[in-house]
Amino acid sequence: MGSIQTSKRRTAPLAALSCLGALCLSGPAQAAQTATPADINDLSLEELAALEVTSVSKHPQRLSEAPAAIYVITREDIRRSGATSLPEALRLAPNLEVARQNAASYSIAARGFNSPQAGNKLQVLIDGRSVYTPMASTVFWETLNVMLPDVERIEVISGPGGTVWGANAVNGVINIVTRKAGDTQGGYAEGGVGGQDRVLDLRYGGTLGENAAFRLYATGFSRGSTLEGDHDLVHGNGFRGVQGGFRIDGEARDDTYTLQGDAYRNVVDLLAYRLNGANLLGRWTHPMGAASTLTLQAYVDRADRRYLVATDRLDSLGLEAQANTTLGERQRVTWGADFRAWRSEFDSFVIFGFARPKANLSVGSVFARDEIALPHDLELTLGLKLEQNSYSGFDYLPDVRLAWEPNDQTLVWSSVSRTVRTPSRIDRELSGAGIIAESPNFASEVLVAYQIGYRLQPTPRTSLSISTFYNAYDDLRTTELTNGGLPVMLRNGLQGHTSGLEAWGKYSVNPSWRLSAGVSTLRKKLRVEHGHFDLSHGQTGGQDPSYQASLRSEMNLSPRVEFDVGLRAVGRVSPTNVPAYVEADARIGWRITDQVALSLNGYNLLHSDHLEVINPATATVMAIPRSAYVSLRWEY
Amino acid sequence: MSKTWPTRLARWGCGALQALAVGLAGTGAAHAQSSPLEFAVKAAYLHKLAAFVQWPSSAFGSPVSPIEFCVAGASPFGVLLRQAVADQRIGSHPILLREIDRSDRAAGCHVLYLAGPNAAAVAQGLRKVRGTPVLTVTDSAFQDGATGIVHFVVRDKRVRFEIDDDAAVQNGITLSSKLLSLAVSPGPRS
Repeated sequence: MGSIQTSKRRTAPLAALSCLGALCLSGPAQAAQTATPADINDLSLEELAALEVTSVSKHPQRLSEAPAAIYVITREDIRRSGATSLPEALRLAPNLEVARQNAASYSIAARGFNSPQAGNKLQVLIDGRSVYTPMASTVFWETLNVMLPDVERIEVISGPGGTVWGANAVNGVINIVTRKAGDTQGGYAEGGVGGQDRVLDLRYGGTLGENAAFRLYATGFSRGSTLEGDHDLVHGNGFRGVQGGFRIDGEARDDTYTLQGDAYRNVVDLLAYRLNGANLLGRWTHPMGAASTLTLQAYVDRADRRYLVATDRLDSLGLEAQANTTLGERQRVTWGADFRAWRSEFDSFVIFGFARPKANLSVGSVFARDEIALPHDLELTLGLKLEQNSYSGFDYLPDVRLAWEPNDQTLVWSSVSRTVRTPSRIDRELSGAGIIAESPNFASEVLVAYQIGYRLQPTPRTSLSISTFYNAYDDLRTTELTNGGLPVMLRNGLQGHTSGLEAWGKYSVNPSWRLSAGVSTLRKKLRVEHGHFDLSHGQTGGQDPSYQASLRSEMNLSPRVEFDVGLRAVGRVSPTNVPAYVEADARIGWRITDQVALSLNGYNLLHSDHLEVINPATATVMAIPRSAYVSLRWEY
Repeated sequence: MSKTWPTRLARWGCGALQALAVGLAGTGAAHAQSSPLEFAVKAAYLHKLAAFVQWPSSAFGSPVSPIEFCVAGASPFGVLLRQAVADQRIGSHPILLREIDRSDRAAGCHVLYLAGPNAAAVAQGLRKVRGTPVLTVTDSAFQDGATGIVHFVVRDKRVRFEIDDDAAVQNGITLSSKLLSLAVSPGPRS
């Protein structure tokens, strides 16, 4: 027998304390139920399932218990969706708007404000590394070549990210979690080819001694232009790239650590757009006694974008410390600090740009969150984050949540949160040719969000989640004249509110057939404040559909054959008048042997092409075509 | 955290006291964060679950050859599992209990309980028996990262289990619908 003593995680006083706790609790439990081990062995499975056991420490909170609008995309969901890129996989989340512009570019948002130009209210993290750029407060999706088979899950939180997420989680957070190296051992190869996409994923995982594991991977792709016919290298939008990387996870005594890094090189034909980057991240978790942990994380990231009209280099540094501990039996406290610093250099070859190409930016914050168990199955969560950014200074971000969990099947929650989007370089520094002037007073955009949610598991086969929100915005961006004439300046002149509902559910008809459905609605009312004027006609408000709905069926026709269908409907996009559309994807998966699987996919099957979003900056309207894709996977 | 002698003493004392309190001999074996009763229930479950699992006949040498219950890693059960399976049979097969120090010694196991907090090691253990007729069992008392066909969880102060039917299919064993109906649906891993 091995000699791992799990109790070594404790310090002496805590060990003694918990030991007393165990004694006190186990005594009455034994006495009350008078169940000796021998008696227990006579119980049926049902009786065992009903027997109350006493657990000394509270188990870590599961996401299903978290008081927020969280949708989790699992690895299995991604595999069965047939998605070959991260943005396509994100379509699985009913609480996200995913609009594809062309082969390379997507605009993605939660709860509105989606825009190829002004989408700026979503935070995205890959294994804890923020990929949100302070250049334009946006995410360049075409730089994120996440290898999907290595993704463990994607947590999509619509609504303010609460206290513990990083800065600028205004309307939502997407948290992409890749698998631990220990879970990706052995070899993996998957190659696919289709009308639009060609993808090759390679991975090898092994161990480093007894206590650590690693993986190395490489992924490459080529996506055809969404414009028909032949186009030259500047006007087509074909997209291709490669990425390689590694991840090491290990344990040293009671500590766990992760070291990972990636490097990529992508090219988009449109505007001869070249994207290069690399990152390195380390994370270390140290248990402190029975119920406390300390996590330290640091990363560096370089992203280089070059296209016909500009070069943009961004060096990022992220530092984060987070600790959690229990206070008595009823409180769990999480607290910490994070700091992000950027060195940005943006050189424009056209008249609009930055007067000083280089800038050093930073956002730092300290935060604390207290989860307090109250009588009557209530749990109150109080959070506060104090944030300082190098443009507009100090902000406070409070968050209050109340949850009622009368049993394991029901959770009712509500929250009130204040959060901000800190100014980007564009907001503050964009200028040029006497047409637009720098806006040194551009302040943070402010959101106060009110949410109510309900989660239910009425039967073991059925789960349901409903969330509603009312978001009150202030100080949103406007483009305004100065003294009635040029130059224009960016100011904080727009306010208003949005409201909506997000609901999704899953139902297992039988062990080999699962159905899921989702719907989201959005109402938006924005107005220019007195004394302000918006030349951009509310461009900041984005272009959003008033509803989205989706339906998926995942069926195992036999233990080796899967048949999956997804249907999605997206309402007419306002104000750009992109027509409403309904599209369908289908997939047949065949596990030929335990190591080899074949997958046949059809994407956007209902129309020869359809439009999802219009980017006013590019004259050509680019529709997304129907396509087929076949892939072969080999694992050993 | 440095392991000073008071820590060791407290740990030893705690294990001994717990063992005394519940009349068990497995000092320090019960998992620190869980009550002994929790593991008594799990031990009973392990033995009861097996009755609702069908192995291919090739998994047994003969109709009366033993069904092997293996515990890999530091067993949290102490004597509980031994008590639970004593003189028991699954169908015509007597139960043989084996404690193995490493999961690569799992050849011949029909039920494999993977203990230990190291998700990577558990995942490796699961991989080693993938595709062979083994009912793999993992436990959220240790970790939620790598889960077997059966994964013990505590819900509402009760020991329940999640089932990964796909993994069962992959291992070529059949779970009765009764097991599936008693399983709780896996929450998203936190």
